[in-house]
Amino acid sequence: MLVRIPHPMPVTTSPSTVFVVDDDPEFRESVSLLLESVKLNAEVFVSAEDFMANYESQRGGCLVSDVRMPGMSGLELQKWMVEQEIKLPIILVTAHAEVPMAVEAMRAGAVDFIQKPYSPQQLLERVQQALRQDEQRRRDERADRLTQNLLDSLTRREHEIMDLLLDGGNTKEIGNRLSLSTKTVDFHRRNLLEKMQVDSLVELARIVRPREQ
Amino acid sequence: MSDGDSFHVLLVEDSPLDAMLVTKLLGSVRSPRFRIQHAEQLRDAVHLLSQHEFDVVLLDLMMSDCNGLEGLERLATDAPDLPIIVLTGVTDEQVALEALRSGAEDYLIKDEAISDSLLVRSIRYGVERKRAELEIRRLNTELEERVARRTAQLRASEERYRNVVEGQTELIVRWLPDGTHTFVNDAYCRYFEKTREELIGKSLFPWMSSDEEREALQSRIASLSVDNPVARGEHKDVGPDGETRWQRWTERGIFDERGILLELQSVGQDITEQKQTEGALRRAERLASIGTMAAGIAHEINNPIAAALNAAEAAMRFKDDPDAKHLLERCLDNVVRSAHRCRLIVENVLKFSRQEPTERSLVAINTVVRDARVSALPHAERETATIELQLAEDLPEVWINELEIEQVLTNLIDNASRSADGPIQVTVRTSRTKHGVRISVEDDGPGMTVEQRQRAFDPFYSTRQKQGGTGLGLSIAHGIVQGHGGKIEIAGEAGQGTVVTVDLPINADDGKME
Repeated sequence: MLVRIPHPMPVTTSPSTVFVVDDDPEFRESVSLLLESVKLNAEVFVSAEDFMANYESQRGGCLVSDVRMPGMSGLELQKWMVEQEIKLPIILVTAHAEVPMAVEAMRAGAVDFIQKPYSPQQLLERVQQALRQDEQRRRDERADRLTQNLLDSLTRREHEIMDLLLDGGNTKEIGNRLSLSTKTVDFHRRNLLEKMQVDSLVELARIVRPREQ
Repeated sequence: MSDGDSFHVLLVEDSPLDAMLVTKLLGSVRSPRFRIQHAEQLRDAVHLLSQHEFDVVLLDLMMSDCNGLEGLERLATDAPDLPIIVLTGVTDEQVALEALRSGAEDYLIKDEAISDSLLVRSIRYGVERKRAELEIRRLNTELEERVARRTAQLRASEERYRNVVEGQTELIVRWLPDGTHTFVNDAYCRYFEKTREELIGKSLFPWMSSDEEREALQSRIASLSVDNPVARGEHKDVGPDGETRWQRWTERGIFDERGILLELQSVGQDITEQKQTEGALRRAERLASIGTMAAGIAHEINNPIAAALNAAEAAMRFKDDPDAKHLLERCLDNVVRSAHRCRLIVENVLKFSRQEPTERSLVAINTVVRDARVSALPHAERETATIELQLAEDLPEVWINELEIEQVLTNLIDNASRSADGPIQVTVRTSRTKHGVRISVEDDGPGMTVEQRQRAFDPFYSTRQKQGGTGLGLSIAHGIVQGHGGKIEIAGEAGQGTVVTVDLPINADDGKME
């Protein structure tokens, strides 16, 4: 049975890569071939240390790593990634149903856990899911960065007025509160909407407010 | 008392004249000397007897204060151990006999004929006779006491023996070599549900449960000898509830001085419960080891199976893409390699679980070592290892299965060759031991940790799982060496290389090595 490949996502981010870490040569190669067969980019590493030395931060995708390996284990690799603030989703592969370990890994932020033996379809589904999650994350991050740049361009007064507007105040109330004329407030209002590249307060709330939560 | 040369005499005499006569008579004697105390009346005599010790009493039968015979009886009662010699003036045979019957030692007549020598002889003999009599009486009493004591001891011992034989659960039986019961205890009767009358004089062979049981017992009896009179064995029969039950028996043969078996004594114990527990334990152990093995196989086979599935799945996607030909080839190659790994694991498991007795012959161990080196060489060269042989020349041939031992040595050399990534030196030595030969395989690799050393012989324990190590090589080697009555040991610390020694006896059947 072949896996139905989801329709490619709109290209809004750089291409994703599946990073495969496993010390078993046949297994490593087979995962890479499987991923290539569904047109996914795969890169293989023989150990956690190998991945740590060669991974370039900011590269998107997901990580598929064996838990038990000579040298550093998959869990130790996960810890390292948390410390390095690498947000790549992680799929840990284990040979046994090791529930306490799975709980620990999940708590530390592992995206998924897959137990051998698994079918190729299962692996591909988990990988696709992790990639979608990573792309969403990267899109959000980029939007955040964009919004932040716009916010940085506001003056302190404009920022002050924006906060009061988003809290539901009208021009007159804000003028009274800040001892400014209604006209001046209106002027600032137009300017800040323009700087934030939005047409209305509703739109402004949509890009600014989720970040503040 | 008298020391043999001096007698202390109590003279009981109411006639002063007679008393003087006797005193004079005895006083004139030089040897032995007589010391005389004189009592005129019987009651004086009784008093003196209670005050002093005397060797002899001379008693006049014609006393004024009593009848002579009564006086004699009185003195004989008061001093039963003292010889009494009766003196009288009367020549009356009847009185003399009465006196002797009443306990007098001797009887003398006071007349002109009484001489010092007669009196002395009579006293001396009287004293001696009395002393001998007393000694005999004392010995008799002692003998009686001893007999009574021994009898009591015997009775206690017999009681103890009876308690031992009857009072416990051991089955005890004595029987003749033809099987006839001569003695059975209560426990034996109860166990076999028969009365003593039904057993004694009847043979035990006809009601043994099978011919095999009977033959086993008969061959055990045949093995008994004067020098080796005890044999042990287990027997089974069918109990009253129809269930098979087991006993452990100890047979002791009783032989005559010509070494002919006269009788047998057997002590038995019911061990049915123990047998059942042992059986259950063995089953549980077997199940546990099957479980361990199954888990091990599952774990080992997981990786290559997953790899083969992944590669096959990928191959199905690549097969219609003309540009992906080399990718398709890589997939198929991966499937083949992974499947081979599975096959290797299964093969080793089968080898491990097979326990057929193997054929053996007398073999020069150095030849086997050389063959093993040739088998291991291709691997060793790939691993950049060099194998050096240091073989002793004076080795005895050993009784082994050549192929099995070669497999063991090849495995050890392989392990040594792969113990490090870089170049490695492997040295194989042979030497003579007290009971056989020793082969040691030494490497200058990284060595083993304590945990690795302890687990090295466990099935499925491997430090090279991902490189295709099945964790069965050393388990199999251990099994083979043990099957040859030998032993295999690992020495060496982490960081100091490893030495594995295999000791083989010349012939495993001549006794296992400790």
